[in-house]
Amino acid sequence: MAVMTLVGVNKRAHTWTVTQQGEKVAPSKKVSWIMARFLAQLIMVGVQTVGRAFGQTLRQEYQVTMAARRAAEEAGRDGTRAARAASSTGISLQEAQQILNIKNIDDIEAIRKHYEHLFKVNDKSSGGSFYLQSKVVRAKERIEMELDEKVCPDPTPSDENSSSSQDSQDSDSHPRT
Amino acid sequence: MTRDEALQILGLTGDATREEIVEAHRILMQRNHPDRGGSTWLAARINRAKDILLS
Repeated sequence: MAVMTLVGVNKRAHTWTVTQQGEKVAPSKKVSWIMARFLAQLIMVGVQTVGRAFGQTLRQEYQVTMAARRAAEEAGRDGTRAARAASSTGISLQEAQQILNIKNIDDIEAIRKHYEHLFKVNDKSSGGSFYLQSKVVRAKERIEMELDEKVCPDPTPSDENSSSSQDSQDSDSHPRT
Repeated sequence: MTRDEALQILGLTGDATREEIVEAHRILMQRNHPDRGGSTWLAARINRAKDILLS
């Protein structure tokens, strides 16, 4: 394309010099005039071509970047939720379930029972380890966070269950305290 | 697991004797044993903490 334009320019420059300036211009001057014009146009065309190509590349680059960013945002929205929950409590949901020994996180009664038991046996005042107790607390927080996300109905602890678990815990911890 | 973490798990300080480590492990293991309503995860940590401190 550039070559064709150059030929056209050359032709036009030639005809122009012949018709407008004809015999008045000396042959050598005429040639240099044609050359200058030709060179100027050549540079113009070159700059235009390069500029157009550059602009196109920039536009394409920009579109690709925007598309990639949109895709990353879409994909990130789901993945970051779990990552955020894990980073705020320091443990993953799977780890939290293992700590509290919970198979199903919808079993709210089991979570409460296991949590209360583990919290009690690891209490510092009865010779437990503060580190392990914190782990238990954080595991419960992590699971609660997961339940909040799922928008579960409020747990309604039944009285006879809680009193029986209390009894079993007492009999567990008595000999050692 | 680092040595510091192991000490924290067993609720001990850096100058704990061998006997203290064994005793702390025994007590915590009794309480957190999976067969007695504890958790496998915590029991595993307690065991590992003892192994690290006694090695």
